[in-house]
Amino acid sequence: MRCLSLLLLLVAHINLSGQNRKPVVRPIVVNTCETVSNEAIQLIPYYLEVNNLDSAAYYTKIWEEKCGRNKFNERIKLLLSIEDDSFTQFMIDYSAYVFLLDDLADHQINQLIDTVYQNPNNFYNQYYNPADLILSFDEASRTFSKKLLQKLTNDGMSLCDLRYQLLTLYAGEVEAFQQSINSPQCSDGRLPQLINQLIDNIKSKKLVHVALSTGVWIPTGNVSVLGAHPSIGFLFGGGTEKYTFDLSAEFRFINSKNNYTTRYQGNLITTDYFFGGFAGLNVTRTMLSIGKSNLHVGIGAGIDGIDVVESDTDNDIDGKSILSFNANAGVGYRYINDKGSYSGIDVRYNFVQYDNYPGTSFSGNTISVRLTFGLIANDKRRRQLSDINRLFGNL
Amino acid sequence: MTNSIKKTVFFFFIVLLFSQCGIFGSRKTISSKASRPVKKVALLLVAENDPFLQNSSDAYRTIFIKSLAESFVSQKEFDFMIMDKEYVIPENDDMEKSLIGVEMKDYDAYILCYHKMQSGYNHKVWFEVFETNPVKHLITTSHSTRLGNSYFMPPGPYETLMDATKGAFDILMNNWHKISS
Repeated sequence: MRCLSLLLLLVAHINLSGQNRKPVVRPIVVNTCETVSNEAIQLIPYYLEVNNLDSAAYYTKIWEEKCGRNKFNERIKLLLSIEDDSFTQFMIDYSAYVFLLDDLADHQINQLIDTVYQNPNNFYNQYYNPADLILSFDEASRTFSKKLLQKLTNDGMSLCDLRYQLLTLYAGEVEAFQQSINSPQCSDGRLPQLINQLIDNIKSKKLVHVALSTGVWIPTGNVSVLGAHPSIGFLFGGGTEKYTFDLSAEFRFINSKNNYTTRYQGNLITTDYFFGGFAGLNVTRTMLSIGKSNLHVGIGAGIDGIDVVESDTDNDIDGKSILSFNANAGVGYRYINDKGSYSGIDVRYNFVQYDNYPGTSFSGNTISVRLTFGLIANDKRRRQLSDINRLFGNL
Repeated sequence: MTNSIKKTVFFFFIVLLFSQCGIFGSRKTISSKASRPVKKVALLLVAENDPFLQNSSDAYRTIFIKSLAESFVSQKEFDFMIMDKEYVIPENDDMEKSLIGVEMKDYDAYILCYHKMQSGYNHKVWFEVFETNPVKHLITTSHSTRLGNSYFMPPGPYETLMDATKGAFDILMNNWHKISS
C-alpha cells in the first residue's frame, strides 16, 4: 500500500511538473509571398528530380497564388502541363510570352558568359539574387525539359509543335528553338505569330528624326543667270517605315555668278547680291528597301525666296525679297546606319515662279541636290528591334 | 525675308548645337603595331580608383561585363577571355598597367576596360590595349555617349553604358588592322 501511494505521488508530481513547464512557443508560419517563394524555389527542383510531380504542381500553384505569375512558376506550370498532356496553346498568353522572352535572354547571356568569362559563378553571384537557388532551379527545370523533350520527340512530336518550341527553350537548346521559330513551315504557329505581332508593334512606333543637309542648288532656264549655289539646311520630321513627313528649311548663299537687274524703290538697279531659302513640307515614300539601304520618291511644297537686296537696318536700307511658291518632286537614297540614323542623297526638281519684272527674267525652275545626315533617331525602337533579332536569331 | 532667314539660321544652329554630333564622341590613339599576331586576348576590368564608388558599382559591373561579352563575341580577329579579377589602377600609372603584362603572359595581348559615369546618366568607356612579352601599348579607344550619341528620349544609365561599350568597341575593331601584324 505504501508503495502504491508513493507511486501515485510520483505520478502526480510528474504531471504537476509537466503543467509547470513553460508552454512551447511555436512561431506562427505566415505564408507570405517571400516564404512561399523561398520554399518553392528550393523544393520544386527536388520534386522534379524524384519525379514527385504532384508536389511540384502543388507548390507551383501556391507560389502563383501568393506571388502572382513569374517566369519561374510559369515555366514549371507549362512543363507540368506538357507532361500530363493538359497543355493547350492558349496557355501562352502575353504574360507567358514575356516570361519566355526573359528566359530566352537569360539562356543566351548564360551561354555567352560560360564561354567568355573566367569564373562564371562569380558573375552569376552578382547577376542573380540568390544565385545558387536560381541556378539550381534552372538546372532542374532544364534537366526535366530535356527528358520530356526526348520522350515526346520519340513519340513523334513535330518540330513546329508549340510544345517542342517551349521544351527546346527550357532545355537551353537555343539554336533548335530559333530554327523552329524561323522555319517557314512553322510560321503560322502561336509563338511565331506572337513574335510577329511584337515586331509589328515596335515597327508601328513612329520614326522621328532630325537631320542636317548640305548640297547644291542649280537653277535652269533664265534663272540660271544666278548660277549654282551651295546650300545648307535641316529637316525635322517623322513617320512610319513607309512614309516620312518632314519640315525642312534650306539656305543658299554666295553671290550671283552674273550681275542682274531688279527694280528697287522705283529704280532698276544692277547687283550680284544673292541669298536664297526654302521652307516647307516634304513627304517621302519608301519604294524599295534592301538591307540597310532604301530608295524613296518624294514630293514637297513650300515657300521659296531670293534676297536680291540686302537689308541694312543701320543705314535704313530695306531689303528686297522675291518670293515664290515651290512645288517639288524627286527621288532619294538613304543608308540606315547601326545607330538607327542615316546618311542619304536627295535630288529634287523644284517648280518655282520668281517674279523679277521688269528686271532680269528669273523664269525657269531649279534642281536641288542635297546630302542628308540624320542626327537624332528613335533609339528605343532600334534597340527593341535589335534585341528581338538577337533573341530569335535575325528574323 | 532677310530677317526671317537670319532667325531661321539662328534656329538652325541652335538645333545643331543641341543635336550633338557623333563624331565628337569617339577617340583613338595608336601607339605602335604588335610585334606578333594577336590571337588570344585577356579583357581586364578596371574599377574606379575611388574606394567609395567601388561597392556601389556591382550592377554597372555586371552590365559592363555583359556588354563586353556581347560586343567582343561579334568579332572574329581573336579569342578572348574576360578575367574575373578587377584591377584598381590610377589612370596615369603606366608602370602599374605594364606590370599586369607579367600576369598575362599566357595571352598575346590584354585590354584594360574602363567605364565611368558622366553627367546626365551618360557613360564613357575606354579600352587600353597592351601587347604582352614585351609589354607595349598598342592603342587606346574611347567612346562617350555624352558627345557621341543622340537620344530621342533621355536614356537610362544601363543603356548608355551599353552604347558607350559598343562605341569604344567599334572604333577599336575599325582600327585593329592598324595594330595587328
